[in-house]
Amino acid sequence: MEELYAHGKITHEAKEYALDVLYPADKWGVWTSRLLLAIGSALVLCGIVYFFAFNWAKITPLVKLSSLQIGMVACLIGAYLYSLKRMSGQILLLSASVLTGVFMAVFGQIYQTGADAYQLFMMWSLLTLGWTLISNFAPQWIFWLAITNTFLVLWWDQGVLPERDMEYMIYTYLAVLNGGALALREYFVTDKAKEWLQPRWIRVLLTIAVLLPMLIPIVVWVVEPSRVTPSITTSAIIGLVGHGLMYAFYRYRMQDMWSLAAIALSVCIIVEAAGLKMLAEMFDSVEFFMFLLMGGMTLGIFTVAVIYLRKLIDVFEVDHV
Amino acid sequence: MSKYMSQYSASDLLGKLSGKGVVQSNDEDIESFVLAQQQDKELPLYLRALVGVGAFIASLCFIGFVTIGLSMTEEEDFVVWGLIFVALAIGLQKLSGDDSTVKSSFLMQSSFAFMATGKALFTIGMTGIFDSGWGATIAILIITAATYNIYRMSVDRFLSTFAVFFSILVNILWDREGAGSRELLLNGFMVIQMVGVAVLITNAKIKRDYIPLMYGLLFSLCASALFLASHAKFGYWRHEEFIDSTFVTLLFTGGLIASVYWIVGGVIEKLKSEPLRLAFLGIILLGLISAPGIILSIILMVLGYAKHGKVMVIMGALLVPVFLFFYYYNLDVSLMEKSGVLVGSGVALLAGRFYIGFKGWNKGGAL
Repeated sequence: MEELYAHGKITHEAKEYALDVLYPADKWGVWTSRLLLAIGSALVLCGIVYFFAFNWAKITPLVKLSSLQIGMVACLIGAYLYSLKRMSGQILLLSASVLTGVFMAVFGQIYQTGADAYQLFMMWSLLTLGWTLISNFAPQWIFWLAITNTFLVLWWDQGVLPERDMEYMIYTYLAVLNGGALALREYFVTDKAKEWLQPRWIRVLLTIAVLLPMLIPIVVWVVEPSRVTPSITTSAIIGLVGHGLMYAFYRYRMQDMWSLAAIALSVCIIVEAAGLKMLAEMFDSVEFFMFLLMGGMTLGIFTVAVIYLRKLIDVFEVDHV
Repeated sequence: MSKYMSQYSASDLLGKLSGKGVVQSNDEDIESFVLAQQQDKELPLYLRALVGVGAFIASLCFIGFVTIGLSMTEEEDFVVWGLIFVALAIGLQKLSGDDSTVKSSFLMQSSFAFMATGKALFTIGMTGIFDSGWGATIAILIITAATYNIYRMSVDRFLSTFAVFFSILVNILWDREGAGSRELLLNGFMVIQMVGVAVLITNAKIKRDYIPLMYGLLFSLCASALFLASHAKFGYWRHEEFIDSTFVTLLFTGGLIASVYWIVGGVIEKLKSEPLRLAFLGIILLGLISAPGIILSIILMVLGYAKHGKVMVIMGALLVPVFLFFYYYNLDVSLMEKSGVLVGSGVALLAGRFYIGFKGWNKGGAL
């Protein structure tokens, strides 16, 4: 509209009307209201966490635990009263989830049992799972997934204490967990009752969360074959299969260029790692030639990816402007 | 955030305008103008990112090849080879064309890698010749200004302009030659960046070729604010100077007020409405508590929302928690007081939210 007006194609009145249509006044009210709610809630929660973290010795256990429990219950009652269909209720539920973790940390410090940190995250994840399931709120799910990912990593490190042979299996578990979440998102996204799943950022975030744990063992498998253990091989194979499944899904079932671009980047990194490894071994004594070939190879790999994706854009006939 | 933005296609909007009678239906002049605007051959963002990653890795390899293979030690060699690579990049881009053939894509990718290699070599050489950090700034400035209108790739334009402004910032804050006048230089630099951003955002007659320049400036402005929020003293070795952020706070506060004024179309009557008076009060309060980073984040979100600029909205949203962290971390009060301030400010924002709901401004007619 601004460019049309600047080039004299429309009148000032037309521009003003178009801007009113594009930026309705009530949207500013909603926007500001939600911004204040999000930042305000975050500040209050941070303040509570700060309070307990830094004023530890001065507070009696009774006050510590009861105030947190009152906070949690108040948030849950608030979420119930506002209903989970409104953002206020959803934010209150998310606040209750945060306070659950704070409560467990405080409880663990008062009644020290020598338990590992993973148990805190495990209980935090289990206790918040129920209301996460009914929350209809993407940030609540992402928060729950972050807690559960942390639990898995800590559990693997502190609870399982894997032998060197099994170390890399954690990447498979993380990929399965996040992949499961992504699969659920894609399964329910077409359901009109679950509009909250539709924003693209959820898919992008989950795609990255799945691709990363699949990519790492593959790169290790390729770059350091002498270090390969059964868990690296297993995770790498699962990773490769996972890449294939994701590609097939976003190529044929639910066409999405952003996801395909992320998968393409991941594949480029794998091929690049293999190529660099091969060239470094072949031209160890003539470094400058090795660098030249590496540069050329990199261009080749990424060019193929770009060409392929551009062709897919034509196939999908998607407007990406 | 995009969920709350109005989504209209160009044809929907033109239909509404003709329905209102402010444009003629089937106005061919307008339709051909809109079509011309939409036929921009720029790649989608994810492809530009992919091209960027590939070109970055390839350029590192080419720099390694040139440096080792040609046994370069003299600064002049770097400059000459840098210019050769830049010239090659421009030539390759001319050859590549706009289609999506294998040849075109490979040439485009190679061209970008050569440009990155050339600019890096040129800058390394010039920095050595000048023997100063400002040499790097001058080198990037010269090569960016020389190629901006010739080399039409938005990723390169954005990265190059950002590099220019970022190198100026680094020199102002840490170069030996800026000793004694860092605060003055930084304030001047901030003013230039703000004016630049304001002109590029609000002036509809600016060509879209300059959008990468606008983002380069915006990113540099954010980097400046981040440095200012995370450090109080800047300098080299032990010659550090305290930089007061009062001027920058005033600048950003004024910027946010000006942004709101621009968004309401400069209509004074609208500024007298209660929501806007309260908004101005909030902005002034933010200015009084000296939170320049938070104000900048809000400017980004407000302007991004108004201009449907998702990148700006996302930048602002990501920067809010960072600047909030720095703000509260740097507060010179006890930890007990700090937690009280956090809860208090959060409650104040929530009260604002409830007031908006109470007045019904979230249902319509807020502005």
